[in-house]
Amino acid sequence: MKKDLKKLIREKRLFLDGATGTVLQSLGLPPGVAPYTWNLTHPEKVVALHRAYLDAGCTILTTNTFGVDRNRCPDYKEVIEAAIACAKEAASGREDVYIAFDVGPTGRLPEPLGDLPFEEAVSLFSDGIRVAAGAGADLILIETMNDSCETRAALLAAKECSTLPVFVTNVYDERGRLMTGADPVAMIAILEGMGADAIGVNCSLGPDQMLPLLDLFSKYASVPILVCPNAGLPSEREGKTVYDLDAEAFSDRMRELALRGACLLGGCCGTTPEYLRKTVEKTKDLPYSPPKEKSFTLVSSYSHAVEIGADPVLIGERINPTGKPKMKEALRAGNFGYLLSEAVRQEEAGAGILDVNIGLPEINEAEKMPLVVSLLQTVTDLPLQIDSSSEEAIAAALRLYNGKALINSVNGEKEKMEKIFPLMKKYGGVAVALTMDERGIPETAAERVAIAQKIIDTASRYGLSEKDLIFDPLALSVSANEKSALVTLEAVEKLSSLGLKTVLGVSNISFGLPSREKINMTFFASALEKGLSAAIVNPFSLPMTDVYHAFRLLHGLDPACGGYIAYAEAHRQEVAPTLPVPQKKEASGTGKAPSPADSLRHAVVRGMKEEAVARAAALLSEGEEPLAVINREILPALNEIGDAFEARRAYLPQLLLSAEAASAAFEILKEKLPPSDRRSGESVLLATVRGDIHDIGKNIVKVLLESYGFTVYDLGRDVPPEEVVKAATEKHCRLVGLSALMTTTVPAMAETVRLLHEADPLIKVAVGGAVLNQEYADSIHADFYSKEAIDTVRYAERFYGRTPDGAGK
Amino acid sequence: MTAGRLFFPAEELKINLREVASRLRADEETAGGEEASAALAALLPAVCCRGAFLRVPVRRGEDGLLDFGFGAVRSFDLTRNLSDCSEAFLFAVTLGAGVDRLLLRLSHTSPAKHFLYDGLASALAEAACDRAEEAFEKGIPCRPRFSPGYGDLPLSFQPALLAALDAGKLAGITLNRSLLMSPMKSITAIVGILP
Repeated sequence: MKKDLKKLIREKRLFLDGATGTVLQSLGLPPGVAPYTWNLTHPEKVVALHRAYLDAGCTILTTNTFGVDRNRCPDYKEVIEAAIACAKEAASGREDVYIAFDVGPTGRLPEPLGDLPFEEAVSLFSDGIRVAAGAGADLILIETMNDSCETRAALLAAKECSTLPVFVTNVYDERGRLMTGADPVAMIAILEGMGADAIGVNCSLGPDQMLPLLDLFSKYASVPILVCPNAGLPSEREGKTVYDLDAEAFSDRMRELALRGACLLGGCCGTTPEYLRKTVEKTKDLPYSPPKEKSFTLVSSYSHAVEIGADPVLIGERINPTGKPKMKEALRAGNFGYLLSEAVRQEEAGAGILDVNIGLPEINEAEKMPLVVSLLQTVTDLPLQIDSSSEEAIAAALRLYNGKALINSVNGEKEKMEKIFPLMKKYGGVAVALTMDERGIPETAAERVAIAQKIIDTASRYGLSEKDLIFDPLALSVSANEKSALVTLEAVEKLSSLGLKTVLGVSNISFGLPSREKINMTFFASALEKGLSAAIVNPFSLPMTDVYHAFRLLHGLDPACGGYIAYAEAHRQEVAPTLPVPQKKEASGTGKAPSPADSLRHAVVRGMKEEAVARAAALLSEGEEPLAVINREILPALNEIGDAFEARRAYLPQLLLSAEAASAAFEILKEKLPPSDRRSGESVLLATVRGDIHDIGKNIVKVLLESYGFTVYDLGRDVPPEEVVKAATEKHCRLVGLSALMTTTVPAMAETVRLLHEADPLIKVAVGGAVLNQEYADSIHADFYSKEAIDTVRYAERFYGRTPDGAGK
Repeated sequence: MTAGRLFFPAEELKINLREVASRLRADEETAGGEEASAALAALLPAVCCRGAFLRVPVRRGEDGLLDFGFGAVRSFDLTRNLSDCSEAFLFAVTLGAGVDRLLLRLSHTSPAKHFLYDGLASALAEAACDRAEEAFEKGIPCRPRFSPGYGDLPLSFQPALLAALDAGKLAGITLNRSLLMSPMKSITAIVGILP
């Protein structure tokens, strides 16, 4: 009977084997032939490989299955079974030897950087792991992973398809990051959160280069650390890759790694049984101590981790429809652009984590939350706080989220804990724990702390600990109870003194009172003094960020006052005198009159977005009519830059910057327009056709159309023909623009045009893109060929009868 | 040197203004102007330029088949490009996933900047090719580089090329189902070595 491996790795040092390909090539595997094919054709050689490593003293054998999945290897089942049979044969009679099913990357990159959907990645890994578990593997070794998302998919598959221990190692480059950006602490947070049993580093680097990474693992990891370096750094000699460390030098370095905290040792490229034999000899008698349980509270994104408890963290609260009509409207319309821009703005304003709440009665959160979370991860690398009352929405978002998320929230109610804790155990995560339960919110601080203790006790039954929780002792309005702030502050203090992490939704304290920011900032400062670890706040509120930066400065958390000084300097400009107001003048509309340097028109022509917004706002506050501003300032500006573009005095970059400035100004003006003037019926549907992932051309058309005040429904890229038809019908939009950049996707464009005309003969389709010309456009029966992006704008103007010569509707 | 990995700090990539202008469909003044310079400065920190190269024999088989040892392809244009060459370099370079992340972000936040940065990144990828060729050619006279997708050299040659270079492992370059590379700003090419 084999010993429980999860326990064993905490008791003694174990050794994995070294390179597979290198050794098989020395046994005659021709270059260019995948090593895994030998499981079926030369099993005796594979057995010999394993025996050589066993003789060297290794007791964890990795199967010869790197790169085997159903996409690349149709007979993957037979290959995996044969590989495990080879390892078993080599290890027969040895109770101390464990067979690790080796899982490498799929060779494709997950979305959004690549085109491999997350669930497809999980399914690819699951197929292999099921076979391996059935064939008698003792553990799963996920290795040579260079993307955090793909690593998560593999680990999730291992957990869903087996009960075997799982070891995970990633490839870090000379920057100390994965190819797609994650640093070691982010990976530790993700992998431990999802329940990996040992984690670490393999390939790419030699043992020397792994030392700084190992130090980070030693500091942050609670599970045993696994290192499998290459035999030093590669160079090329007589057409072959050679590594700069011999077995003697390699094993000396491995001893150093063991002394610095590496628990499980093995080798990667260039290592042979000899390297491992010497490594075993030099390290087997060293004292062994597995990592101690760490108490860091870590959340992470795909790039970095944020520690909660060391330095206060601002959690941006702006992605939430409550009390925000514009956000509500955007969510209802599926206009995620607004939501994404709020994310970016909060990041720029200094938020460390972003709360994401899309709760509206008409929105199916379980369906939309994963979409919103993955979209947000394309624009921000901040960790996200998934905020929903729907456990289904939380589950769906956690599954897809590339990182270790914060969850908002759990509380002392039994039912709530029973739903949330298993999700945290499976996907990883830290939860905001509200100190309330079935009986409501207790009146005293002591009772709130008691609920916190109850939550910890329950969490521990799920294998979670207090470090996975941040307690929210609940700020309630002082207008309802004048002692409420004192109770909350006392609770923060008590929780902090117990070593627990705390968070507050700060602004609740002033609900129902005038000049709320004055109260919020004072309360925030008081709570920070009591030890508050994080605050859910509006990061655009200067009083709040003032307190935050000043507190960090005064508490020695801001080395050389750098953070505060940068903050103060960035905001000095904001309190500068307001911008000069442009002089009123008669609307000319010809676009020929020179524009004063301080006019909105000038800002648009020069493509200055912030200036354009500020000037539009200033004009409105002067009491100007929005429509008059559009006609006098924006349209002439667009005509001016458009004329310059056509005369080749300006180029596409300038045209686009002007269009963006105009759109931003439009946004402000549109809100003040009477509905009848909004021209919201003048819409254009845009899509890049199926199979094509190039969307720059389409995006250019979009921004130009928007700058001319058209409503654009952007379906994105790689859009199936049926979806374009469906959207056109649903939105009652009879003007569609399609883009294709590759010759291979023109048939998809032709089909989309055909289906659109079938669905509604009144629909007009404009097409554009690098591969098209007038002839091509005619042959696929497009209604209009747009050579330049601006042509589509002119066509849309004619379509909607904006110009006298236009065909109109 | 017959094979190896490539890694260049971003500052070693010398961008060609004419290339930028053509990508931006603008004049060279715009390409080197204030907006473009600011964009380039913001782009460079996201660049992590790496790659791999391999020296291979070129054999000509029946009916125009070009055999490189690791794989063979039929291409009239490549055959013409490699005329007289009995050897060639293959290489792949990439600006890395950081540039993709930046472009993805801009595609959602600013189409104007997206266009600008994308054009600059394409020009930087060409600069990376120049830098790479300098590194492995070491003055050996060579033909101009030729990439899958040029002329009649099909994209379907990409999988074999990338596999021969071990570009997935050495540079993190993968292919999607349309045979386009991720990271997007990656280039593979064949360079004929003149006799």
